[in-house]
Amino acid sequence: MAAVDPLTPPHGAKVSVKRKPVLSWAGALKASFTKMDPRVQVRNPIMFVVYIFFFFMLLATFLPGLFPDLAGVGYDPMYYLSITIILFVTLWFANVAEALAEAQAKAQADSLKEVRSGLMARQILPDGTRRWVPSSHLHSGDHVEVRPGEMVPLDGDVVQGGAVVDESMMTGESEPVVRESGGDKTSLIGGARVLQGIVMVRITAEPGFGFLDRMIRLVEGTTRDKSPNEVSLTILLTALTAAILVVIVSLAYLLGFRYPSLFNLGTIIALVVCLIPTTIGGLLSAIGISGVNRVSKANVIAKSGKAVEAAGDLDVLILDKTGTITVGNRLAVQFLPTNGVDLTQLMKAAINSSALDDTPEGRSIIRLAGLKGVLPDRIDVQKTRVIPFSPERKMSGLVTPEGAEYMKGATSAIETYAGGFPDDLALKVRDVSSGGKTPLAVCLNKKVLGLVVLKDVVKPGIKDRLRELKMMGIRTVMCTGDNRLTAAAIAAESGVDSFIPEAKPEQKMSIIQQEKAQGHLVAMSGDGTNDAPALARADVGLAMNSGTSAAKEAANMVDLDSDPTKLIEVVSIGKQLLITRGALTTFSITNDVAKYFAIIPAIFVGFAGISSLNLMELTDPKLAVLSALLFNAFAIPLLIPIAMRGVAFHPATAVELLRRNLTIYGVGGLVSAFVGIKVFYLALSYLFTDPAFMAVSEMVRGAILGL
Amino acid sequence: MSTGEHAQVHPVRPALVFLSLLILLAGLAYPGLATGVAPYLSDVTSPGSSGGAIHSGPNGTSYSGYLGENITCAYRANLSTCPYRALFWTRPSEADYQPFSGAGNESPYGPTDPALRNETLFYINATGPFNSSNPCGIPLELVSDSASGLDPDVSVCGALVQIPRIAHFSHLTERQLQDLVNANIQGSGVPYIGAKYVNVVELDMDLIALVSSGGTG
Amino acid sequence: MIELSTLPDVILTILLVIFLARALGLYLSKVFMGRPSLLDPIMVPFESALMRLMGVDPDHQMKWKEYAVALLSLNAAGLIFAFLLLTFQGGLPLNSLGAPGMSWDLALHTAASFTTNTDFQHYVPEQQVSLLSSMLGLLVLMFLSAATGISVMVAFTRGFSRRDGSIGNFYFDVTQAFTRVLLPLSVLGALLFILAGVPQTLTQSVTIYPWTGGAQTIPLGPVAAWDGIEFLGTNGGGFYAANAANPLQNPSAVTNLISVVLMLLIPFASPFMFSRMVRREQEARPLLATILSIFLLGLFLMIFFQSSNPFLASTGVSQSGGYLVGAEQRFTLPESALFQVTSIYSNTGATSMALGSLTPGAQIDLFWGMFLQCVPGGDGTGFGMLLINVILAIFVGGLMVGRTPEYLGNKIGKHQMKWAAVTILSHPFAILIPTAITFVFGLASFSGGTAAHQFTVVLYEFTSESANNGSGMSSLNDNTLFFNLAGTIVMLVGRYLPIIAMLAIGGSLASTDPAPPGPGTLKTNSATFTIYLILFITIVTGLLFLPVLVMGPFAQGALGGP
Repeated sequence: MAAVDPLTPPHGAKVSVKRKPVLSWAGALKASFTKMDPRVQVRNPIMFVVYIFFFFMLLATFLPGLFPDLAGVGYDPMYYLSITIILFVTLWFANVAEALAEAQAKAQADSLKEVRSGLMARQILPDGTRRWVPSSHLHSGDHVEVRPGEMVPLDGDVVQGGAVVDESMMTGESEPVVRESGGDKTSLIGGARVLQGIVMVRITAEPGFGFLDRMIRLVEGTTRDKSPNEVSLTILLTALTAAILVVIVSLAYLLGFRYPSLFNLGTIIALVVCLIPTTIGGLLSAIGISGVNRVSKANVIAKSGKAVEAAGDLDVLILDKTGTITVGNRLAVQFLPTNGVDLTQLMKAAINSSALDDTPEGRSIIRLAGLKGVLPDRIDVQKTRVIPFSPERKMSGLVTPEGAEYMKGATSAIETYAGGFPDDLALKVRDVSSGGKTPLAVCLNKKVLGLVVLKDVVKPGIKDRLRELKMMGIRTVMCTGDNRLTAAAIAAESGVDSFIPEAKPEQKMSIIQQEKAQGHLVAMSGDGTNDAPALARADVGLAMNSGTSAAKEAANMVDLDSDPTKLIEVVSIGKQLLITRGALTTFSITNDVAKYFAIIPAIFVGFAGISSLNLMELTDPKLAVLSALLFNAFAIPLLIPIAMRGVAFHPATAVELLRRNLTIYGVGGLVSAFVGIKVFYLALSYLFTDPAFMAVSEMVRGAILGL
Repeated sequence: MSTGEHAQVHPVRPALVFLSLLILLAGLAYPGLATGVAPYLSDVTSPGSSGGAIHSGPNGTSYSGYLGENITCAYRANLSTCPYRALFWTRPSEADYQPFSGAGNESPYGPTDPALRNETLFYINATGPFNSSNPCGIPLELVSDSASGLDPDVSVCGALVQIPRIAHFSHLTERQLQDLVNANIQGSGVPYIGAKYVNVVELDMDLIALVSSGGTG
Repeated sequence: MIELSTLPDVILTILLVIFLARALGLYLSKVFMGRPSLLDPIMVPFESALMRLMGVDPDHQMKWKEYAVALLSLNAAGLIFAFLLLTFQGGLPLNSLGAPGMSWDLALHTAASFTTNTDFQHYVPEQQVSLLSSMLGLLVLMFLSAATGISVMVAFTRGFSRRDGSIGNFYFDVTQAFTRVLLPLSVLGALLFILAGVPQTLTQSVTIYPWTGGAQTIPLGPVAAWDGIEFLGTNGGGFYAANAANPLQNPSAVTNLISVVLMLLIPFASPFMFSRMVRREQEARPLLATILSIFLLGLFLMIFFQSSNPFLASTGVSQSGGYLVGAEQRFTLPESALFQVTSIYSNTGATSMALGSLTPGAQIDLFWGMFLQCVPGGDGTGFGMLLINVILAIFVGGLMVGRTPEYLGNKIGKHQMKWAAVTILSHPFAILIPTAITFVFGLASFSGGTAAHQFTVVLYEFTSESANNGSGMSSLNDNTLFFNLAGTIVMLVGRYLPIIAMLAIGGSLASTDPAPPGPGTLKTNSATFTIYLILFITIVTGLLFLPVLVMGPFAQGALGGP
């Protein structure tokens, strides 16, 4: 490779792109036709039955001579042609559903591919020289340098430097994040764009196996193996289809031999197609694909569809306190002066000690005092000596140029530092601690003035979400490093079901194993390397994108927004996926009841009692059959939105959910089919009395008969 | 798996042993034992029932209290030649009340077979001339097949409706015949269980006895 | 219009059944969990001797395949034995009425029929079966088939609560079913029947000389003993051709009610046994409610449809006692209907009415019971069928609450679905394919009837055989090579496919990880689920069988077909 300027990209090289998924309607439309390929159709046993019957009807319509018995038994070219067309439309609708879901996925995948293809990267060779290579030439272990305006070519870890990174390519809209070497924020995702700073990155993925690629593969469906419930449902639907086939084929034979005058091949085939569960059959794969789509829209990369489905089954969520249940920082809520000290005096000392403390705790002290009208003294920053916080010291503060020494910190540390602690204050410390809050002692010139009470603040809205989880029957376990008292207070305030205090990250593993041994399905989120084994063991492990590569590797889902509460959303999506399948199956089955009432009277015309079954008063048998068949076909596109979006899911108890979905999709399926068939029937009756239509129809009839 | 450690039992020997046990216990001991106690038990409630409730009638005849006899003229076009014209009739029977015949006892007609209607009308015709005045109407069972072809019973109404005919062909009054029917009304023997019915075989034996005793009862 | 004076005893009988079934369910659970129970002092020494003789360790726990092989072997042995007995009965003792040896196809059909708890009779028992065949062959098979059914249910039940893949020991189960349940209860039943007047003798016939002239041969035998196991075992093969319509077999309304209680006893005890064995006693409720509500609806419809036949209205005949063509006069309409619905819905198949004569609505009612097979269905297998229906219903329902469907702490996955699907498929296959073949190839001959009636009769034949019911409509000449062979196949498929499926599902449930029910689990012990289950079973079954019903009984309801 020619030597290149290591700092500026070679002319014309792509180092960054903008991504915006564009749904290709044309592509979906085209796919809906290419899916007519028998090799594609055979994968869906239910629609394959329709497929076979479509060709059968096509032959019967245009070459009735191939079926010698047909001429005498109700062969009607227009009727047969209509059935043939509706069968085709049914197949096509099912293809459209699948193609749309896939197109949605593909739009995401394409925009991701855009990022990947032809991207150039600045590789750092072992001898320190830099050269430009296509990102596809990089391997795990290689080092690259990324400068502002350039994209990270592949997943990797920052080994040197730090940068502000824009991950919106992956996450859509999130704020820039900081990535730096050392610590837990080293991980970079392929496709992220550096805004500021220069980083040296060690590539951790092989080309084609990064997150980007995994996401592409998932949404493209190449790794989308059928999830367990989808397999079971397919078995059920196939069995139902086979049973209906046997029922109707034997009925056809019996009719043909017992009541030859009633036998009509077209009607029989229409009956089969109406009764087999084409609605759910045609939408089944679309439901699965869009379930995964919805997860990726939530900015979560699921490594398999199975993981998404498993999320619906979860019984136990293990949540970290910090960042998930609480905002992650303690905030000052109260000042408690010791006896003989004025409140204002304490507040003054507290804000002075925090004047140069840029931690959220420090800022919250200043804010709280500010609310009470106390402002910090003006401090000459240049001449002030800052005593920063350190884990060993457990306190921080500053020494003013005048020599005043403001300190605040853990009560034990302050006690040692000040060489004593007022008795009344020691009591208050105990009170505060037992309330789950954290006391900070404040002193001026080694004289203890009082306490600042810090409190973990529960995230807004978390209470409601935890309540929803409870309603769904999911138990939440909070893991925290805090002591029991603090943990209990937070647990009570947030509504979490149980908590594990003084937990080390390694302990999560044993908790997961315990729960799993009892048969529970467990989910957890995590970001650290020491979370990795637990993430791998959990049924659903959600790694934070901000976390280490090890954590992301071990988890079966990665949240690009690094929001631990995403688990809750993932649970909802998983449940929605299952509910959508169940609801549409129910819809399909109850539809059949109405279809029977349309077609059975149409078949057995002349059986005197049969008119009592003709609830919809469909007087023309052929139009009745066509109406049922049309309703059957149009149920698919009408339900595509539900399949893609998922059935509306509100957290409720299982029995309530069953009742609601039975009412909406069971009773609804029954009623809508009765109404729908009647509407189609009225429309067709109108059409078939229209002189213009009749003229065209006669021409077509003549043309077919002339063949 | 702990369950897999045992060698699987070869299934033939236990099958044969168990089958032999069944033959001994279920095939021999069980019916044998029941037969042994049957006479004693049935004596408690209805003597002789364990042997088929065979009772002797007059003149060396015998009958089973459970079974009907072919006493009907419903098949005949001409009543005057029928020996049973002055007797109560049992229901029509495809089997002619032959308990050994077994097969074909049931009516071969479905519920909406025109042949069924014709047959019903035929029976009504045959039994009809004498019962038009009866408030019961012609009860269906009197003109239709039973399930067994051996049913000895008709409803009380089914007996009462025949009285005008019997009175016509015998010299008994309708009142006497009514008393006879009323005396023959049976039930299951347990209150609230079973229909009220008349056993025609027994009723006719009483009728014959009444006639031969001079009709004074 | 309807004769309802005996409705109270019909209702009381059903209440009595539930009361007795509850106690029996408790007893059954003790027996099959190996807990101490009533008959231990008498039976334990006997059973352990039997186990030694069989060379079986009753504690050895079988996987489902081993269980199935043991079960099928024993059933095969019984079938072969009865086949030989029936084929050669002509030359064997205890044959004073001179029953000839059966043709091979009839013997095969009969042996298969009694082995599969169907008890369909293509022959006239009075003339074609010797006392020896009745006792050593058919009586034995009636015990064997009932014991087999109970074993299957017990093994299936164990699958729900076990985790080691085992479902019990077949030899233990079948022995207990015989010694602890069927034998003692049959003896009790037989004694009650004798008390109530059912003949019981080893004399094969008696001759009477009726005053109408001539001599009549009355066939007799161990009728009370036969009745005992015929009803308790939900077998339903008649000692006489007319079965429970024959006054010798069912002489009074009292014996009629005893028969009903015996038929329902074990099927209604099953949910109670099940719920105790899976240690969730509340779970008996939705299952019992499902059985009871569909059963009672069937009974109500039977009484309703039999209350009169409008087709005969123009003849002027009085139907004040109900439509009594093909009914016996000693029973009231509600009593006849109770017996008939009980017998068909429990897949016993005994008849106290002439089924071909019933009104079209009543015929549909009986078809319905056989299509469902599980309300309550035959001993053991009927309840197993109900559980398979529950699995299917809970699968769709479970999805609708957003979880992988689970029942009693077991996830329902593809293994269970596969076998449940096979079971659901087997019934329409076994009924409709042979029915279509019969008509397409013109293989049936009839002693009369309209086209629609003849269709009904053939449909009934195969439905009854596939459901292992055994009742039939008489106008079909069914002792032919075709009906004997087709019937044998249909009965074997209708019996053993579901049995294998039940054992396989039990085995696969026992091999899955537990899924302890939590607050998010769909509560199966709830009114919502019960109603859903009833609707699910009704709609799915209705979808599969409505068209053929239209061609048969429906068409009869019209003008006898077009």
